[in-house]
Amino acid sequence: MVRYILGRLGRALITIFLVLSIVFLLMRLLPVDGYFEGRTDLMSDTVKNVILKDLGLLDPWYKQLFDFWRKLLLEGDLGKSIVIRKNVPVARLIWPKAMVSFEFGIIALAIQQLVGLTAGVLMARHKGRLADKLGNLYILLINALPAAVYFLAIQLYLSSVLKLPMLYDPINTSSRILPIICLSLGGIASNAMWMRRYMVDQMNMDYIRLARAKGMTSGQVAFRHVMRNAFIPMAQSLPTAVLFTISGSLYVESLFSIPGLGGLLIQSIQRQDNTMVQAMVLLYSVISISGLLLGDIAMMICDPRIKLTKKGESR
Amino acid sequence: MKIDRQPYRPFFRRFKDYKLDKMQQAFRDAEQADPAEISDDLFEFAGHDIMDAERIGYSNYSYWRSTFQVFFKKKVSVFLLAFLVALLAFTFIQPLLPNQKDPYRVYNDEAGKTLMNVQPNEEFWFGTNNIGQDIWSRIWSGTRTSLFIGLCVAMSNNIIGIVLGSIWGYARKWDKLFTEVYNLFDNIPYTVLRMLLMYIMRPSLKTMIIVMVLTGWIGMSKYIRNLILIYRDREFNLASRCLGTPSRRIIIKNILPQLISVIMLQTALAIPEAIGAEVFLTYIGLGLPVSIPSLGNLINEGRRVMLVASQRYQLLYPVLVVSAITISFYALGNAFADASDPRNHR
Amino acid sequence: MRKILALLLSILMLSSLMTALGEQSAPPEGIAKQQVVKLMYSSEMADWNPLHPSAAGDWANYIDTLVEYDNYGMVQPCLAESWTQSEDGLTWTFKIREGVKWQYYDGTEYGADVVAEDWVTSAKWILDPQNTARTADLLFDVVGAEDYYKAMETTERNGDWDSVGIKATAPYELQFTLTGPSPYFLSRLTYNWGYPTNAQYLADMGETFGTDNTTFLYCGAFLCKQWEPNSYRIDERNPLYWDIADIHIERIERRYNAEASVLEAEALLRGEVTTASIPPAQVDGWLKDPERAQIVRPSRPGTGSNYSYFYLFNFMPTYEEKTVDGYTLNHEQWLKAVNNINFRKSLYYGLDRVKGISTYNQYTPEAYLLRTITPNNFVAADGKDYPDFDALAPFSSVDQFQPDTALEYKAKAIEELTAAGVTFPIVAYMPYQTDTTQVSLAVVVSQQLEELLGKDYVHFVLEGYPSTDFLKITRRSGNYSFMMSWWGPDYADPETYTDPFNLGQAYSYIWRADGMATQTTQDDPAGRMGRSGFDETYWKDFIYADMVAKATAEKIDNSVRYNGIAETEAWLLENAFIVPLGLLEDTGYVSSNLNPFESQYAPFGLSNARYKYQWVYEKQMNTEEYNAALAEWEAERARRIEYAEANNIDY
Repeated sequence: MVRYILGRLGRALITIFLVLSIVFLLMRLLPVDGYFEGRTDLMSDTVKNVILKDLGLLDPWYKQLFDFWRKLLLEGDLGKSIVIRKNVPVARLIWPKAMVSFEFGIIALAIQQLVGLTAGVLMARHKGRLADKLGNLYILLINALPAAVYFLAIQLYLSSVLKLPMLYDPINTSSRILPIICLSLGGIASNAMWMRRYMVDQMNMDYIRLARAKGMTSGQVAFRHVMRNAFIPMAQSLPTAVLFTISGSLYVESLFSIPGLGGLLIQSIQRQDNTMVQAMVLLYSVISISGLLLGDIAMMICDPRIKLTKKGESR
Repeated sequence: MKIDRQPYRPFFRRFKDYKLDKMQQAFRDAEQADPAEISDDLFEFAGHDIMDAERIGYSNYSYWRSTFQVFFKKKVSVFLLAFLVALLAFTFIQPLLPNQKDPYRVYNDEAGKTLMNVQPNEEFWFGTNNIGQDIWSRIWSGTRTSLFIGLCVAMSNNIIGIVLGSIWGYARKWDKLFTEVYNLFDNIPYTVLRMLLMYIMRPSLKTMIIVMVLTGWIGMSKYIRNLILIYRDREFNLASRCLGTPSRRIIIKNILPQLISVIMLQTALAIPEAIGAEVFLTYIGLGLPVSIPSLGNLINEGRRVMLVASQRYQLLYPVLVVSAITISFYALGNAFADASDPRNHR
Repeated sequence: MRKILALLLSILMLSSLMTALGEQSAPPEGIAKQQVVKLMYSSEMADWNPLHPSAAGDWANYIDTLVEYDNYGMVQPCLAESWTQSEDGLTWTFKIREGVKWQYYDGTEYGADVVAEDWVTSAKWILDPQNTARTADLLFDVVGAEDYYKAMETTERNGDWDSVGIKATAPYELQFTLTGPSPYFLSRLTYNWGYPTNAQYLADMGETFGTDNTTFLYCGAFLCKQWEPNSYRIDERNPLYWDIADIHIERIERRYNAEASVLEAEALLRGEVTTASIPPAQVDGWLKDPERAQIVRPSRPGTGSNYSYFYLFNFMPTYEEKTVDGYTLNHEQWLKAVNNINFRKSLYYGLDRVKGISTYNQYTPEAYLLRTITPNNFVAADGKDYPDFDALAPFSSVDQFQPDTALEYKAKAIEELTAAGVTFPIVAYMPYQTDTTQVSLAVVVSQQLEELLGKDYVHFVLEGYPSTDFLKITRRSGNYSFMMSWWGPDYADPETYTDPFNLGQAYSYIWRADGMATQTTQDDPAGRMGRSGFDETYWKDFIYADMVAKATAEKIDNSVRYNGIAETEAWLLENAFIVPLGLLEDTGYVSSNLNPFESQYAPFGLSNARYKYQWVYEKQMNTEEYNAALAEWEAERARRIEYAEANNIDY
């Protein structure tokens, strides 16, 4: 078991190394004019060269890559932001933002699980009846309408109807309501749909028939048997979901002025802040790999029948 | 930002995951039917007939016929299929119809003044936008563009996914290498890859398709690989191998036909998925050039006038079209996946 | 005009006192009870180092410059109380205001006054390549600056600071020595290298200098009290400010929102912001709504940047010779056509500028129209606005969109070009930037020209490129035949608008037009390179360059100088090399509780970012009020220019 985890960690390190190196080199393919802040026409070539030299962009690519890894591994230095906030260490920029996103994300995640799974169970138990139809309509609508449109509609109309603030304000708790609603809608839909399908499938299984035959009520069956079994695949995906709440949501955070991590990666790429992009990619790969590992371990703990060591290449 | 992962994976990805998992499960179950559960009185002796013995074993069960039977039994599916076919046909026929406007042209009135923001009327069925272009024809032109992207992406994903997935699943010695490549691709956030590639290759129709395929083939090949792993060592394949059938033929003749339903599902859902990705890329400013009508561009333009009641129609119509397409493909994919599940064939 | 070199301090003080008194004694009617400006912004402060970036407008409220502009565009003393210019125009000496304190962001005193040495510190920092200030080249017209920068760039770093012409000759006396007389030197001082920096603080802070609102020193009208990245930024009036009588706004609250352009208008309706620009796509809906129409007005052109937009004919086509929809792009054919003046004139007179501009503002496009390259209210002499000078009057006084004239030139062009073996239609390649309103402009203009002149005469092949590297790929590389481009002024002198068309700039390569210049080699001392990186051939006797050199040789008498430069501009228009279009930066509509005519007016530098002189009003200005105020402002500006000229005051 320990050997298996160590082996996976080892391979994860190689993956992270390759991922980061590839992104690093792709960034070097971007046009250099992006580094002159729109003054390309006016700036003299001398000044341009000085800027590129300062960013280390005049060195050959392998030297740049080597320098980057040397700094990161030997000094633990991810560097300083070059555009988003000049000269500020990237780690200092990313953490506070990640925490803001986490705060919103974790509440939204809890709502998604709670409301989504309950709705799914209810829909399955009333299959074909009104509750089910309404639920299905909701799922369809959420997935058919572009998020960029219905978030904006929620922000503009709900805020005026419910007299809630349009933008997020750290001091005002009620300003968090709308963004959290927006963040939860998609997750509720997909959780409800997943739970409903799972319930409907499981209801035809023999062990459920047996339980019903024993005289358990359908409610008891749903919560004692089906939900318990449903928890196993959930246990696998939950660590990743929790970890990824720090990445925030681009749409919601942009609309509601939430200073989270949502748009940062995109903004960093757009403005060619190389150090920022590298740090963010590192963060995301670490999260995704550790999320998968934690998920597998969690699944193994929940369901003793599952042995990871047998087929190590499962992921 | 949405990193494409569970449970924040976009809806379609999750839905597909679920469907495909279920199919795999069904195949596994089929393998493990326990003979002890079957009671003897279900059987009766069949008389021995020499003529019959000479005849080659035959069952009138046909997978495809059953699939279609189940599929066409549902009126909703038939209706949706008809609707989609009509919609597809219409997007291509529309420019040929009489009295259609040019989606790129700016329309002027007799005095030479541009007809901006004209409300829907007899002349402009869906009104005009803020530089006087006809929204009706732009929507159909945009639908053509977006469907074209969706189809290209789905086809390319299928071809690359099937070829690589088959090799990955079938050739054991390649498995390690492929798995590592998969891990690598899967761990670069899709958004980063898409954005960097868009910047490096510059936004255009071609780039958009390439970028979506580059980030899309990997999932498909993973599924194909898993399914092939299930089938590879089934008895009929072992027998076939013993008889000296080459691997290529085993993959093409014995295994791939079993995967058709997966591929159809993938194709049906890839189109709305591609439209969604296009809307997202447009939102972050990396979509198609604004001058090319596409559903993403039309929606993005519409969002800007959402606040003004008199111009809201500029958002309404593109959103309606996107929703209709998405819902139909989603429901069709769903119905088809159900129909192609052999357990529903009785 | 500027022969009297010593500036009469008393006159200046008097004029500024007059304005100050007028506003101070009785605040204008209708001001809001709370003098608070609330804004929404979508691009976060990336760099807090005031010496660093090129667009340092954000600091204009935190740090003062030597001079600034008042709301009529007249130079006012700021941290320099007065200045003199030497006989030869090369040396400028500034008397620095005494008693201005350096302060921390919270308003406490740092313990030092602003002194002359502080400007030397700034210049020295900017001219050190290690600091990668992006505006170093703006200082290169100071004696020794460029040499110093280049010397510091080498590994020896052996620059000799004593040779650079920026000196503190006394604690409160600052002296600049220039490489040549510069009639527009004062306007140059309003860029960020005109900010003072306390040397001791800079040295103490080292790497952390200017990384957020707490790590640089303030001496301006506002202090940035709170800043939360991607959330908000709050400025408060500086109680110790030397000119606090002119600062009426008490607080500036800025909310960050990545989608500000979409939400701003709605936020204004809910009273959450005091200024919002109405997106072009929404304007229609606002003006049709009787209530909203009362609170919205056109934006004021030329306040932001004075970028002049125009169409260019390219004389160095490099685009791919491909066939699009049956029309084939061909360099040879295009060069024959573009070298024909009648062809150029047919487009020049045939372009419906107003129709083009209406893609930016469909209600008052005329307000943004330019008939000359240099915009109105930019510079003036002899009591006349520059575009009204004799040489330019024929262009500026008559509508340049003349369909009949265009068709006459078309007939002539067809005749001459057919003889020269050109096949019609002439296929022109028109690239545009995809993520801006330029898309609509390109579509509208190309269709308008094709319709007027006939599709059998000219056909445009449109192609969109994204904003990244747009100019490098299109205009600079010569990857176009006819496209829109723009130029913004760097200083208060019409010479700035001659720069883009001269050798060394990658605009339309006019020197390559027939008979305009002689090609030569690098060894020829008279030869100059076309544009490094794009057209590395050498040219001499470029007619336009010679004209500009002759006109700008006059450094003292502005009337002579401006008239000379006006002739060079008229030459460009007469030959239809350039088709002026308009001021397209501040088009569209805004709704604002501020009066745009109270803000500092300067088409260059950073002064216009300041909130000095401004009041917050209870009600937003509507279009009628705006037009009335604009007329009043123009009359007052003319009167003040006249007064300044009569009294030999720099303006």
